[in-house]
Amino acid sequence: MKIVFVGPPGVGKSTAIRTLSDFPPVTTEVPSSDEERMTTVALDFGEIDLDGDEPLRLYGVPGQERFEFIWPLVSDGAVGMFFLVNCTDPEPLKVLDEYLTNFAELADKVPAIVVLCHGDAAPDSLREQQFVRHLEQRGRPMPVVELDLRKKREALYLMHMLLALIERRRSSEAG
Amino acid sequence: MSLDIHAGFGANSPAGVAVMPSPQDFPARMPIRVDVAALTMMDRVLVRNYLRQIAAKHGCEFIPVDGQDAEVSIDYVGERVRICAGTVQELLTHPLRITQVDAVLQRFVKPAPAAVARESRAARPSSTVSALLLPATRQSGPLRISGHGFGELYFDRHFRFVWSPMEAESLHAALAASQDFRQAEPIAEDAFNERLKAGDLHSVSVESLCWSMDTGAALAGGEPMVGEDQLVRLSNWPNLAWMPDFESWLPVLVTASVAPIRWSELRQRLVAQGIAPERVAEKLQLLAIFGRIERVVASEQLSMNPAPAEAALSASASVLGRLRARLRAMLAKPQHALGLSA
Repeated sequence: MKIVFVGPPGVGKSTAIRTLSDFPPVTTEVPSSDEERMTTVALDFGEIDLDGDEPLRLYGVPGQERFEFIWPLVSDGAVGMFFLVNCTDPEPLKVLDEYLTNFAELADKVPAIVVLCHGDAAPDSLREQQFVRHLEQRGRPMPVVELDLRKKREALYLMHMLLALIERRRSSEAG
Repeated sequence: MSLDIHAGFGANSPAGVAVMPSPQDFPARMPIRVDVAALTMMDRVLVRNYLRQIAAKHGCEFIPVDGQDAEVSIDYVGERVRICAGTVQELLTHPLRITQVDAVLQRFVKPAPAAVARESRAARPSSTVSALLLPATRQSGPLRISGHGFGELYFDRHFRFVWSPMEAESLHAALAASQDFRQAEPIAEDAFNERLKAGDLHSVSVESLCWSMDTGAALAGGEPMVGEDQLVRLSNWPNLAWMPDFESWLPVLVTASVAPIRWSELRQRLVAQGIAPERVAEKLQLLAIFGRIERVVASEQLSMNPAPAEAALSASASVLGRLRARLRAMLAKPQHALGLSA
């Protein structure tokens, strides 16, 4: 069972996984296209032990197309996903659109939540509403919530939100 | 041309208000020097966010580099913003949360002088404080916050900002280490509401305070905002992380977010979750006041992630139960220095 965190570098995927994982997350790196930068994190991996069962695996992946080779690996067996948006990005809706397109297949199958990160530095007011409307216009409504994933309690709240969505999906299918 | 930030944004800064171009209009490759020692703690937070916005606007990283000097110098060289300073760590890792910082900035960003104005002709989108939260209160009258969450609130007279007690540990450490501690004072419920009534509070902090302090809010007059038979939906998720019983709310809120539900039924379902009726009424009122509940016309149908979900079914009830148990256990563990974890 997997949960996938998708988002641009620096948005907080590693932080969220570090917050939730039972062990320090494993990080893999690949050379950046930008020579100034040494590396770009390509994959974060952590686990939550489920007491005798297979652990819940947490994957953090960049959403850009050049990391496409990783997506099948992390998508297989996923039960939910988070789109992490950096609110300080000059064009956050455009970035989100790119990721929604790249991960459309998975987002169609499993409950997904858009998480607005770095809201304390964001320029626009009422941005949650903007995202909600944008997702509805794209025909892909999903919950949008602003959280600070550096805080364990807020990261756990996010996991509980996803769990509630998964359980509702299961019960509606069973019913 | 360079931008020297030495006086800060505050009106009571010794040298007056710094003139800052909007982050959106900030020209590329303009060197910035920030004299941290001359800035108040609040100014430092604002400057940090200001710089972050500039970096974001130009699609570059905001990279802290420790140094020895009291002065922060920022070499803005296309791909990177490099920051060097001994005290800059405080700037970058400051634990206090400021939402909608641009609105704060905007209050202190004066019209640019001619030299800068040439660089910033494009008008910054207006996001004045009055256009921020509390859309309902603008129509329905003044808001009054009440409840048991008051007790350790600090009001910053300078910025009209109320610091949340959810970050009290960090707040106290940061304030105690700062000469600006004198600018923040405890504020009680009545004083809070007086200031709210007088429009003397930074409105963006009000909603987050209500959720984090687990308080209630009421509009003057007390008339219900939503009719009993009104169909509603949760259009906009709140951050309930700091409510002790958020887990009880989530199944019902998920239902309300994926399909319209009658206001009375929403309340009944929450009560059926074991939440006290008064508490349900109080929090639903908050959702309505802060515009997170939307009225729905009867013909409207909503559905989230409408496609079937094979993958979700692959998670068995027992596995989900174990996950829930683990999350609960993690939640119950004591937390370290809230807001300071990297």
